[in-house]
Amino acid sequence: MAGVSRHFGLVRALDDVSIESTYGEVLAILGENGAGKTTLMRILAGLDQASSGRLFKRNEPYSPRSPRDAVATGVTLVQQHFALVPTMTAADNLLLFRSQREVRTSREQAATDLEELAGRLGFQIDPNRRVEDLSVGERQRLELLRAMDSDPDVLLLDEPTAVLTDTEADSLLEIVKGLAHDDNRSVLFITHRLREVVKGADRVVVLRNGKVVSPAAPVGERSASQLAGEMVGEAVHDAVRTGHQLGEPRLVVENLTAPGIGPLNLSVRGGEVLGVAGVGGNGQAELEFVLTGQARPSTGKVLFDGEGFADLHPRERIAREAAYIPSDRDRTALIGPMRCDENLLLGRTTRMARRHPYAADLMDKWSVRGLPEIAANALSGGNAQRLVAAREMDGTPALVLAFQPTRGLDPGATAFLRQALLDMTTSGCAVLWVSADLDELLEMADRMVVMFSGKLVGEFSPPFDRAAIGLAMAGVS
Amino acid sequence: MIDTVLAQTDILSLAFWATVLAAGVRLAISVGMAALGEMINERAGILNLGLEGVMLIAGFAGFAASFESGSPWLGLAGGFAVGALVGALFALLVVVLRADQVVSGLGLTLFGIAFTAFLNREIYGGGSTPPRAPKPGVWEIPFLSDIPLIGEPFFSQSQVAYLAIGITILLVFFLRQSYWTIVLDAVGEEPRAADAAGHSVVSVRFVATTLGSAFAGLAGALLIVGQLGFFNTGITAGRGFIAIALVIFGRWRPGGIALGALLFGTLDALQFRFQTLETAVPFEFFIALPFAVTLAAVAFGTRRARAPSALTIPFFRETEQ
Repeated sequence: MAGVSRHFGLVRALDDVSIESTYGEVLAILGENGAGKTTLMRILAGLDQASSGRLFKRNEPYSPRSPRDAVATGVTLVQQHFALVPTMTAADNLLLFRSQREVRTSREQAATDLEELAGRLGFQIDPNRRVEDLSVGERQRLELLRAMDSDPDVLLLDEPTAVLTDTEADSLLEIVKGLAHDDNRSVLFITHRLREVVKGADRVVVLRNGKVVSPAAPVGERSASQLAGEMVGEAVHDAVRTGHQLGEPRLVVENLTAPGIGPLNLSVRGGEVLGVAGVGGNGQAELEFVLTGQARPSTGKVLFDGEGFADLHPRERIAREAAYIPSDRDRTALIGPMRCDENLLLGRTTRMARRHPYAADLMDKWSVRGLPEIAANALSGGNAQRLVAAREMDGTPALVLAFQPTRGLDPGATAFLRQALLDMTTSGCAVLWVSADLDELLEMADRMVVMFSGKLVGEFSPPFDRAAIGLAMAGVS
Repeated sequence: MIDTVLAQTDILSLAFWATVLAAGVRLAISVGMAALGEMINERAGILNLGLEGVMLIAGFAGFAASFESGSPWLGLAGGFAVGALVGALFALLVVVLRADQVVSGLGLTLFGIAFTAFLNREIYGGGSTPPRAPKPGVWEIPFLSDIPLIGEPFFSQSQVAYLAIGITILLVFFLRQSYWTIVLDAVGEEPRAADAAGHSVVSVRFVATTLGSAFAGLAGALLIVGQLGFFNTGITAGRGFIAIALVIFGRWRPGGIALGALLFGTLDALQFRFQTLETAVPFEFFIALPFAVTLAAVAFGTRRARAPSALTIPFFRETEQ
């Protein structure tokens, strides 16, 4: 593509972008959230049109008006947000993507085709299971299968690994590499994870603020920290731990059971970061619900400073200065259509609101890029999470319950959030940090427990034994 | 009271139940057809609370066609066509222009009641003895109609009953087999996924809304042209709303909806019987009974049922927000 721009009102999402990819290679497009990567993919896939500039495919002008157009010319996109219908079976989702010319394919035929396609790519899938019953990894593979159904020669992947664990991501990258190298396809994937660029791509191009800041070059030519610097425009600082002292146990969980989890025993001391590691879907969500009063424990106790905590009304929880960073930012933490300043007041009583600094000051303090008057869903992921942190953690919380606090964030926002959480501990706050990102916890936690199928299967103290934790996460004791 | 009921009717006899069931089937036809139509647009994510209005407008148009031409079949076709037309206008509002579905639908119902009352008075005088149009005949199927209990209800009915049953069966099979069911459900459950798959959400919803309304129009005509043969102000008497409840009761499946319609129709038939009994209970109680039972069934019997996720939510592509 040459000189492509896309404007949304006054916002320039893409500015004079030129990128060239060739067959038989995986080209990574690296950039922070909001760098314009997704817009670029949507234009290539016919879901959006460029405001100016031109696209070429095999030296022919290429201007898809719709996803159908794109597919007909051999270009398919695997979107970041799953474009699957959860209530339908895997096979029906495949059928949905087939064009009307193929209407005669029966549902049974679609099921067979799906299994065959999966076999060719080297994995298995049950075509008759409903998508809502599949794990995220399986869904991602189904997305890939569906994209491959039309046998495209250009495959676009928008953050294909965002929701996957490292192992799942690695196996997906392997498959994708095979598709490019062995079958001479062109694969473009966008990501903000450096690790994956290094593992999965042949060449890499870096986008920032809608511009190409570093043209495509073989991955080996630049170091990871060089790429990171180009992506965020500034050097990323590692989170620093300033002196902190461990106090008495503040949050104590005793013999806690609830549907899907338990019995659980853990305690977090003042000034301590307790990391809860584990592959997603091993009871972290249930733990979150029980600890924050969204579900009732069947048996057991949750005590905070010696008093019952799990059955507190959210208002009581807020009054005790317990901060809560929900794992589901869009649904639990923020009300998307409401303004940022309104979101900052959520759950705060009028008395508290009066003491509240002006939203603009607060947003400034927590580096939320955006105006208080705009809707929260207009913020990028990183800024939305900063907004949540500003509401929950401003002041001196006594307890922080953080669930996947940096998931899906760009490196800049991730570093900011990590530092903010660490800073909490200096004032004797207890921090429970649930994360699927093991590297993050290895770096941040004072102590770590591992969750596996609803139970805590191991406790680790520094220096952490990465291999042992990895085994515990895989359920090997 | 039960003693009186038992004394006055041979409530346990087969003949009694055959008659009640036959009346039940008759009463189920119109409301069931309207519910099937509503099911189609709801599965595409469009709630049409204007069902009552569509039934009245299309039913009146059908009656006029039937009265003027002398052919009830023309009246039924007219009802279907006018239903489609009103549905297309409603779709223009809620699908293309993305107007609020609840407000638009209720507006359509209120408009339908008033507009047909006005036209009826202007054209047919609106008196207490309305003009009558010819009705389709009864079809007695040899042998089958002699079966005890189910012979009378299912094999000795007006021709419109067979039409309605036929359409229901066709719909059951079509929805079970078709590729279009998948597209329809995708648009109602996860419109963005359907869009990404290259299906036009707006087109699918437009067609579904038009078709759904056409069936509701046919439902109005089945009642007014096919069964009653005359028109009166507000003659559908809330059947449009019962139809919407039946869609939930039937869990958005044609089979369940047909069953629900039969249940409602039978209850309605029973309450007519009860009304004629001399009891201390005011007759209004019996009139309200089927509606109350239907609502209770919807409220308590369908806890696990889930409406299409995107119901009443207009579709915007991400970049339009």
